[in-house]
Amino acid sequence: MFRPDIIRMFCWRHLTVCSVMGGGSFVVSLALVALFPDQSADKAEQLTDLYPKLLVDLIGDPMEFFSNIYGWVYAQFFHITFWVVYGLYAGDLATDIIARDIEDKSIDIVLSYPVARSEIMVNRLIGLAILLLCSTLAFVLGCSLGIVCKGQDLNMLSLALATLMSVLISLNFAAVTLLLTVIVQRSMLSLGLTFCIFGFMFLYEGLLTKLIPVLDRLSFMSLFHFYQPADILIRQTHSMGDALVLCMTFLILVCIGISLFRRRDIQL
Amino acid sequence: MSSIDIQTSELTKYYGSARQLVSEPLSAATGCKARGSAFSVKRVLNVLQHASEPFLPRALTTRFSLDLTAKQVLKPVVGIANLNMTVHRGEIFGFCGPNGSGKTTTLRLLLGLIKPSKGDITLLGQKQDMRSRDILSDIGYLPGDIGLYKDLTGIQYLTYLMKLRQRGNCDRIRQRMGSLIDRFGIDVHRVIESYSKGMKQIIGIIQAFMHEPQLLILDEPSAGLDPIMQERLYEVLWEMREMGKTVLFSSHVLTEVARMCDRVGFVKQGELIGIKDVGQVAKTAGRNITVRLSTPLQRIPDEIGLLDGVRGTLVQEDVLTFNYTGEIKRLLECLAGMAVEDMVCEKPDIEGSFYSYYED
Repeated sequence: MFRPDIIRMFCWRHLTVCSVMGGGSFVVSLALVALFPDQSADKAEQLTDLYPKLLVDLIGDPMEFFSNIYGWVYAQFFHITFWVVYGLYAGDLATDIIARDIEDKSIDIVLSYPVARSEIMVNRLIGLAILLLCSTLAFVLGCSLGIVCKGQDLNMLSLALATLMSVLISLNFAAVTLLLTVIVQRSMLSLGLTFCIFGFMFLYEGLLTKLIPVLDRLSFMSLFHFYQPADILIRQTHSMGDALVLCMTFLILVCIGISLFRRRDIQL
Repeated sequence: MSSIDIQTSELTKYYGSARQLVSEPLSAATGCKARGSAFSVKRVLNVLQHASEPFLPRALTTRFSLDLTAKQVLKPVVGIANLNMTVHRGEIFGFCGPNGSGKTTTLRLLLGLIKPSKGDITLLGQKQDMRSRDILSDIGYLPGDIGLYKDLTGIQYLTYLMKLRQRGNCDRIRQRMGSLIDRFGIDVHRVIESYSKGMKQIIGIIQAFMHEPQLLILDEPSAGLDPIMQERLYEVLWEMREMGKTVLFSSHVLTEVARMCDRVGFVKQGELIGIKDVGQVAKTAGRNITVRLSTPLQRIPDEIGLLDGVRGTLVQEDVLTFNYTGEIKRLLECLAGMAVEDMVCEKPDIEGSFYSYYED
């Protein structure tokens, strides 16, 4: 089942993009952390009053963003930017697992080799996870360096845990894309659909459940219900259950994808 | 066996129509105005090929055991129906048919890239199963529309495929790969994106041949190759057959099929409409004789008309043409009594006999 040659090739072919993502994340995270305003509590409260309630419901309490560097890191990266950027990156890599090979017809040769379809998917997914972790490692380093440069206390554990949760949500993004590529066998369509699904889930968890109280009971239907980096970074609390749910969802989606792909016809 | 039934009935049908054409004038025999006179001549030659004199273009290898059976494959969506076929070990089997007839689909069915809705496939004595990949260790496949990793160099791609095929020691495959690279003279250190269509095809050929598989499934292998590379491909194919490997390939190039194959299967609208033994066709082809006499002829001379083995005689002023399957010595004795000015004796092209399968 474990095929280092497949993993190595997948990583090799995406090394350039991974380097760009990693380098870009490092620079951007360093720069944005350096822009932390570090306002006093009074001034932060005044700024908070300027925010409409709807926006506060959606993005969280602005006071925490301006007075706490981890609140700032959350607002700048973990709230939307991380899962959108890394989610799309992971989704794009996921389209390279099956769909792009089908589109450029290179899958025919690979599948004529004595390698199970499940082996191809699993090993390429491992490659995807490695690339994602390498890119996010650069992000964590950039953030850490920025926090140290600003003279703030570095809470490496919180930062690492929040990043890990973001990696899990990105992996789920990749798993949904992968599942859709198996079904529709079109890379851009699958990526677009996944983005729509995650966008909807984000709005559902962040906004709809607050606007329509009855939906609050059903907030668990969104994956973002289990993605709470604000709790980890600002309130220093974390739930292993959330991470477990995200892990399980990822595994279930991958298993469904593999199961479907094993029986799927490869169209001309 | 049902496959033999199909073969016999189709050949009978084919020769039946051929005999009918013999009795018709040349203009009527063409049958297809749009294709012009060149094609008409082919059809007439085609008619003359059921004579019986041996004509072997090359030695045929011994065939034994049933190794590849694709039977009762039914795929309504792609239109493959009732395809019963057996390819013997150590033979080169050609798979021909018009565009969209289902050749590529059949080859993809064999590899498990698509699954048949009905029927079963046996490759090298093992039942084909989409989920079982072990059987593919002994198969080499060249797709018709080849897709490669364009961002890699040729050698990176081939090395990756080599490792994908063989876990552990790859020395033998590496050696064979090196020899094929040298043979085809391709620069494998260039990025595949910069390759021409022919070069990509060569990379595809190398990856299919490099592990010396027991069964080669090739979809239009010579497409995009220049004549020299085509010759090298044929050489490698013959070598594979000499080694007892089985080759199944689809092609539109009838000269290639006639030259390379032991047997040819014709598929049309998803159905196997006939299998021809190329050696047998060659045996019955006879010779086309054209004799120019010093004076115009009014009718077929008795010396020729009554000679055993003469068929399809035509007279056009001073030119007499016919197909002859008898002994050359006897023919020369007959011609000695006639005022012959010139004589041409030629072997008919085998591929001409395949054209009928392409026609409506």
